[in-house]
Amino acid sequence: MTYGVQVFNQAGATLLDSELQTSIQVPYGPTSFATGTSFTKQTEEIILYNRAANGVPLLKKPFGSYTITLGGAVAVNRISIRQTDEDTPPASGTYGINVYDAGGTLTKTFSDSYARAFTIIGIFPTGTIFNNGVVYSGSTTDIWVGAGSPDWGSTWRYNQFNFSTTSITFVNYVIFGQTISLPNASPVIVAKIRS
Amino acid sequence: MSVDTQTVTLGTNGDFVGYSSNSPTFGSISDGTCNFKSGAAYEQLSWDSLNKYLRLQINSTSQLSNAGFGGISFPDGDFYPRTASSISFISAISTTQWLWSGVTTSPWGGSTSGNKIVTFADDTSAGSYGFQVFNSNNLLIVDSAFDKQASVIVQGSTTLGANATSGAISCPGMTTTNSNEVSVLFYDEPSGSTGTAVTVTRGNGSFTLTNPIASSSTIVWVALRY
Repeated sequence: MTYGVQVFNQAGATLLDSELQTSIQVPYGPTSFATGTSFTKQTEEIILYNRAANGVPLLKKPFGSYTITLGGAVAVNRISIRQTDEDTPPASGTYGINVYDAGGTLTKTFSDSYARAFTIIGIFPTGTIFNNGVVYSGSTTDIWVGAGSPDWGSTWRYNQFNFSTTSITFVNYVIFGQTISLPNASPVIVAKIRS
Repeated sequence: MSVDTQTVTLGTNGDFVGYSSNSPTFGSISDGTCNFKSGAAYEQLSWDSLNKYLRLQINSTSQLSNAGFGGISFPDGDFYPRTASSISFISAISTTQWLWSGVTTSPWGGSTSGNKIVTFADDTSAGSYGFQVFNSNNLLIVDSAFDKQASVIVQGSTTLGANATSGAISCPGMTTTNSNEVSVLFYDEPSGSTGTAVTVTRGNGSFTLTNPIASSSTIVWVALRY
């Protein structure tokens, strides 16, 4: 490779290759998301949520729209994660490494101004978790979750989460006379922000 | 490289959370013998929530050396390198203690009960492969040996007709089975009720997407290595 950095493990598998992979990081936040408000996310951006109060924040993002609204009465915190070359990174990082390609594009960053914060704990692939399934158990202070396009109505909840201080469960059901648990129709991501 | 793994059943004593066999005892550990110190007994592994200490104690009659001990990894991925600790011998209880200061958040993820698996690294692993980034308090904030470094392999937007399947989308590193390393997420997709999940069919080095609904959809996706 002409530019960049590669890291391999003992078995020769690629741990890091700045030519093939671009960092995905938390460029700002967290931001409080109050009930009754909305915001518009960027097209290529994933929004993750963290407990601000116990309960189920009623999130809605219609397919084809990038505006997310919060109904109900349970507030939540939100962050964005996106490629580091999609925007201007934080102005100052005291420690870390930035890797650029030949064109000057930042392909990898390990700046403590944002790389320190973000580790993916796990991803539940489509169809692997159901209503009331435990997404995370333990202190939820630094834990952030998200799933595709959330929606809700009087008789359904899709891609929602129930937050408490000690666990986060997945909420995904429809009511036809009784509550019918549904598998996740979109991957569920669980991440930790180092504090 | 891991040199020992222990299961700690968390207990509490005042501000302490974890395990201690020294009085007052709390919690327990299994198997409790230290592989990198000739089978000596672990006597304490606890977090002091008041003074923000992480404390490891191993039974000894004199101060043990640091040899063979590179640090501790906790279930949530936090790694505490031995080089960030101070070592001392406490003769009154016949133990060698490693003490990390400024540990402001619980290494146990906030839990005060239940089982937690901790891994002890040897003292060569940190320098063998990869890299580490420390902050100004000498706390490890990025460690390629322990943290999953989330990276975008490829991202894009694909418009598909009703129930149509895309052509192969190149994704270096993807295999049919490594969904725990490479996963496709969606910035926008028609998921929601049952029957609306976009199907990702994994291949070796590529994948396809299938539109689940009976009308044209534009799916905005990203393939991550994590």
